[in-house]
Amino acid sequence: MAFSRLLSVLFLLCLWPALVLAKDFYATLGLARGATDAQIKKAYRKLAVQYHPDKNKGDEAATAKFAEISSAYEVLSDEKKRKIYDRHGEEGLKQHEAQEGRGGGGDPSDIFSAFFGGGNPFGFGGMGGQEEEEQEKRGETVRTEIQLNLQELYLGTSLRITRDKNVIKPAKGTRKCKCRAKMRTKQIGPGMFQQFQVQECEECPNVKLVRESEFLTVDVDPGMKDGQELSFFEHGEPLIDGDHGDLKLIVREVSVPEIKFRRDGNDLHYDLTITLTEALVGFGKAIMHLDGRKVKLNVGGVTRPGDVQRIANEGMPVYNSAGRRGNMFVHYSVSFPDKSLGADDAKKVRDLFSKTSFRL
Amino acid sequence: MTFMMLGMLVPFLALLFMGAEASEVIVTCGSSVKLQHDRTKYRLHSHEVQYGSGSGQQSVTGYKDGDDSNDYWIVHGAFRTNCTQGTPIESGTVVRLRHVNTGKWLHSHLHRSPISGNLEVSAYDGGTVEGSDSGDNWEVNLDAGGKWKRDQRVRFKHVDTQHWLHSHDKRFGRPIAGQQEICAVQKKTNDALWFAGEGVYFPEREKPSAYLKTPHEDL
Repeated sequence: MAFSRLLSVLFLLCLWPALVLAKDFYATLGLARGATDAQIKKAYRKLAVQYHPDKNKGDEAATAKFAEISSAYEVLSDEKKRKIYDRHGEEGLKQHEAQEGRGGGGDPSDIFSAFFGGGNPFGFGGMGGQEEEEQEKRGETVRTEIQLNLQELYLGTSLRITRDKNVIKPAKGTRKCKCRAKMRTKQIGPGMFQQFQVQECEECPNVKLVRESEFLTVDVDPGMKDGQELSFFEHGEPLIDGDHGDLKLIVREVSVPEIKFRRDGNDLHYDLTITLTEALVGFGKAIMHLDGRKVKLNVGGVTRPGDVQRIANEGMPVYNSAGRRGNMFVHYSVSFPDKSLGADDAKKVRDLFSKTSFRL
Repeated sequence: MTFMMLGMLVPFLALLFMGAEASEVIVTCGSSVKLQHDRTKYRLHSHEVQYGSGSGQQSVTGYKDGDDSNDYWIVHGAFRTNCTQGTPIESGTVVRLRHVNTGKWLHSHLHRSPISGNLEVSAYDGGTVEGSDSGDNWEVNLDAGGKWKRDQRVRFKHVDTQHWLHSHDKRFGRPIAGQQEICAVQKKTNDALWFAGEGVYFPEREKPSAYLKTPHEDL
């Protein structure tokens, strides 16, 4: 029993590198494409400590995230690999690794210990990290919406946004810092004591906030959904004596008049009105898909108002699962002649359908 | 001859390019910006503190420090209109500003502002569509006309009352000590000048492909 569980864990472990490679390494670390080595290191340190399996016992999502972060760092921290990745993507990297005769995806724990020099970043407690860890204070998270229409979400897109924010720079002089509230007791009379709080501070070099503007590349992957978050590490508000918060862009799917599809999860829905004639004898039509392909509909026989036709695998791409797609559903309505038939035509129709059995 | 011309052209082009890098970021619909009062440099701010006078709605103040996420406002189209993210904003365009953290709209009306007794400016979400109404409409006014750019001086005229979004050195006491009064005044002065500083600016975007204009056809 325990053995089979171990096996399945091992199996999952083998799968990880493959799953991980489908991701954007920069996005995984919450970085923009032009990130410096220092930024990459910093982002990895933060995230790796946060998601380390020792700190998230039994949390599979955290373990998976840890593996993802590690693979991203493994590539981006290596100048050669990063260059290949920037130029040729994951595929190029795989080819390179094949040529070098070794598989990618080192053991996440090895990468972690290499980074932290084998030491324990959770302190020296040894009792499962019970020791209080010094949590670095961070500036506020900045949240804003990124609005995307269905075509952008179907094809994926890349946007260059401008992030203009305050950053902390050294300034002349000193300032009070690391202030703590301390209790003091003072004798105010015989046997009478007064307890009061004082602030004790240290002197630090002065800092100032300076505006800095940079471009951030937002990569929107096909199949992203409303409410999904794109995180940019330390692009939020600054904090003196702490780190920048993050910038989070929240995906909002917006409708535009040009796009007639409706989305429901991974499925697309399309309303199509056909004529009574087409409803009776069949028709051939083509729906223009979001990527400009024509999806052909060849229907013989009778189509009833309200009929729904399912076209397999013509829906939205499924986020982060290459090649998988939802379905398309065509909802039919039927338009009728705009004036009444003449007596002759009415007789013809009556004769035509005299032996037909009808149903709803 | 050709070389000479090239030699002259290169620095000229470089200048052009640098200029574009430095200042040509435009403010668009869907961008999230901090609006700084031009003279005092205080930032348009809101938070879950109600006015103790006037309408009693959520207060809007001027905030000094540049490290607060309560200073972000998203630019929206006028009441009952949609403005796609990335659409540039020409002088004269009517917009609404939505406070990011509380979701309320920058609003003005005939209540008196708490310190100076001008028109009160509040953050409000009691309107009819998405909590908005015409009292949230502000006209973007640029002396030079054209598209609204980052760091460019801009005024906002409240459409219903024709008063200008204004700030000055009048400051509040507790619980929002040091924050500056924001109000709307009839006179168009330099204290009605603002600029968009820090923010998340979205670029102009491509429209959906032209082929989608024919959503289906007969075969």
